[in-house]
Amino acid sequence: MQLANFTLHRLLSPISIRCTPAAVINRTLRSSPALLGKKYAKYYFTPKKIFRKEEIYRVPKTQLILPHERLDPLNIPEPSAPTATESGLLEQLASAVNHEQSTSGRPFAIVHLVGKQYKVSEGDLVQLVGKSLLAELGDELVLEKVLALGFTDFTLYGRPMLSRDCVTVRATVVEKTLEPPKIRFEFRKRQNFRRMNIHQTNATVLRIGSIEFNKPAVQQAL
Amino acid sequence: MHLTCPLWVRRIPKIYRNNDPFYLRNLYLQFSFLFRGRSSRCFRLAEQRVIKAFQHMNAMRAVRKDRFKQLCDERIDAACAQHGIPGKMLIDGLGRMNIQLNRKMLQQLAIYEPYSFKSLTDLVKQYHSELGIVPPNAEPPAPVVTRGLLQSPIVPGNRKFYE
Repeated sequence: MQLANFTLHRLLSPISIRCTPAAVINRTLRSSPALLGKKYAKYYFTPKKIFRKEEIYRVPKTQLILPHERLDPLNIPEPSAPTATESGLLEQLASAVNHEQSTSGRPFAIVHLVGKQYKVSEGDLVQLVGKSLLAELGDELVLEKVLALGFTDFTLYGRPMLSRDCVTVRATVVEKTLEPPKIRFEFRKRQNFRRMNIHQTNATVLRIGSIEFNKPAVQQAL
Repeated sequence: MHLTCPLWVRRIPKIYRNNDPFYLRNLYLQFSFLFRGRSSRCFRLAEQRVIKAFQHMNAMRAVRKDRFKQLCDERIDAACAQHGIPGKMLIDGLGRMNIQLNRKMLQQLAIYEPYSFKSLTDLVKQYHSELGIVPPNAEPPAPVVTRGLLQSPIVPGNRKFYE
């Protein structure tokens, strides 16, 4: 089918392009030459998942975890040695931390994930738009960049983040799909200029499992 | 018989070169579904309306972000006014204290976690009072224990307090 590719490329040169059905799906066809000649007439502007191959995006280094930093979600290491404490502890806060019971209320955490912040509690679904993580379905993640934690009687704010010892927010990857197709249509009047592009971005969905709170580490920090 | 590429192109089945005008018109008519009157049924009218609809869509992309930001600012301002602080003061103060909560999160806290939001306003009031700035018509903040840390910048020496 390579000749067919070549001729299509000649046909769909950008100078002579009009908003034809072929122009609408030119980009998608280029990436999936196996579909040429098949019944695509009804897919003119409603491309489905079939047109897009699974792409593995280059994950930037800020998202990668180095081997020596990697944590076992099942075996989180114990908190580090206690930091220097100062006099004048907040007795109210310390007692609130002591009496905090995870069964009483619903704790929330503000988490920084892939450039955005989400307010998260147990059982929430979080959709990451435009991102395809290297993690596969069913993988458990530990969200480490926690900016704030809230309980019934007190909240903790990190400057800018809380330490990993205090909190563990666990999440599992539930879904890795494509978003519905989005259309970008450029039009300039009186210039015979029309361009239509249809693109589908990746989306991953995480289910937040539990927000675990480490009392001794917080008390030491106080 | 060997054909050159341009001639060979003409031999490609009709599926690659749809000269039938139906296909182009159907493209626009499917976008004009549920438009008003004949703009949803007749191609000559639908084409114009659909193109205008797409232009509106493009124009709104940048505007949507600004409008969401304005909405967040409005909500934060209203919630801070209940504590006697202007909204900008909160955002500026939190930035200076290196609390990196963005506007989306602040307005969520203001709506759903009022006590957490109040603690943020108290922090900001304390920060400014240490510098000698007192916002007018503000109640004095709840007692805040700072241990002199609110003003201290993040340097390698005191990194232990910030993880």
